[in-house]
Amino acid sequence: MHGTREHLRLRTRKPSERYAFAGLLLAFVAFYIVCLSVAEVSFSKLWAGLPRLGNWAARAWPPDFSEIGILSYRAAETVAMGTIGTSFGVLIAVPVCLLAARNTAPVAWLSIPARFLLNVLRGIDSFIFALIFVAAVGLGPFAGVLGVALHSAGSIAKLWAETIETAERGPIEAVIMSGASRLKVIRYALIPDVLPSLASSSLYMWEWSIRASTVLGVVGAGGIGQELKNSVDLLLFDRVLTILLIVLVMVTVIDSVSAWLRRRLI
Amino acid sequence: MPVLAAEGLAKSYGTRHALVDASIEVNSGEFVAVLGASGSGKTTLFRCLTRLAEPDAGSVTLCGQSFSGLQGRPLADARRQIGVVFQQFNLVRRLSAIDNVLAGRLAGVPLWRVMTRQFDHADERIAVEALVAVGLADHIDQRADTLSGGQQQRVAIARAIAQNSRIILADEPVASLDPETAEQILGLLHGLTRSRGMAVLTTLHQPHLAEKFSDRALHMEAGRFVGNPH
Repeated sequence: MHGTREHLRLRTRKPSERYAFAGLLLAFVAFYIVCLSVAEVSFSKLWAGLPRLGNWAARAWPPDFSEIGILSYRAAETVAMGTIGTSFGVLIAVPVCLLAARNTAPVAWLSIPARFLLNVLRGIDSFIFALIFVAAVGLGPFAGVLGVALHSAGSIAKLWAETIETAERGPIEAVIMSGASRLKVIRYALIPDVLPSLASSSLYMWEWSIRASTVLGVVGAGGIGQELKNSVDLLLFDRVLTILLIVLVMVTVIDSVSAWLRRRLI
Repeated sequence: MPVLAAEGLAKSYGTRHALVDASIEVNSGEFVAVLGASGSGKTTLFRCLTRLAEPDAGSVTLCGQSFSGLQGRPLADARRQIGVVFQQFNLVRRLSAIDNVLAGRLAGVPLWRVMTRQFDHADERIAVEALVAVGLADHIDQRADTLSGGQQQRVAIARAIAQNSRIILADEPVASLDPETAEQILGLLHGLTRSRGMAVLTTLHQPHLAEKFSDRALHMEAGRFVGNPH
């Protein structure tokens, strides 16, 4: 009985802990209120804009399929941008992740600049990279490919480095004891162990890159996003609806294929 | 000349002295067991002897050559003399039994063959013979993670055989196995000392198994050998 009372007494928070918790809660609420104000959230504005939205929605029906051929081609361009961009990203990620993971970096300190590099790549969105590459290589999907490649390289390398760092140490030590070199150990003990996870995260990034590629056209990097921006600018809402339907089908198919492949890998 | 000799090994983790002034010798064809309770320093000894952990003090000699100061390629070359068997088997789970045994041949295989996993017939024959020697002829192509614990430990022993090592260091090799399988595994290791002249140094929990299989049994307590270490 005494033990139970003692346990309950220990579980009761000290006053200083309670004040600290209340302070943190207040700080969070204050931060949230500031965000609401800075983001100019106004439900009255939304309410006032609803009739206009309704009008656009009415004008969007029925969808205009007269240009389904060119729109499908643009959708294919988007899939191609995401796919080629992600595959370039994978190629860049291979050496970067091996340098960034502390257990595979040839010297421990190298993982610090490698991690900095992948944080930079990951921190800048493919949209911003595409904007820069449009200026460098001109309008069209290739700028999008480069944008997706750099951003996905950072994200994939980060995921891979974390997977490699948490790989089972035992099999690696067993192969080290055979006298094998570092590269042989990586190839023979590490890669077979982590390959399903690496492939799974690459597929996830592929799926993500295709979704991201749908808006790259807004900055002139080709794909279905370009058609979407043109249609919105010209207030062709029936065409906008067709594009949204195509994007929906495309993303659903890609997500399903990717999820199916990932299920088979793990 | 002993296959493996250690003199004055010491290792601390923070303020905890895991290994204190440990000296040991193991000769060809000899089966030596190191007994001790959990936390007595057996695994630290194993890791210091293999240089998977760096000892704070002391020296290790392998086949008459200093093993302590080696780094890089010379260290890797010297490690070829040591086959290892772990409590948790430590096989590459997604590889087959024969691929795991072939890991013992990696040091002498060109890099391109390892990258493409294309071993030559001589290495494959050695791996198959090693698997046959441990009684796994029927499981050559079976994935490691589908084998039983005893079978996985046999694969680990086959890997050490294929490596053509002079000594097998085993860290609690039967701790995860049932009593019958444990005796089979220790019998297999004991057989290697007699048939191939390999030295075996194993850590164990069970005194009766040490008595049955070992030529010498040493005891550890609080990171030290108790009694005469040689």
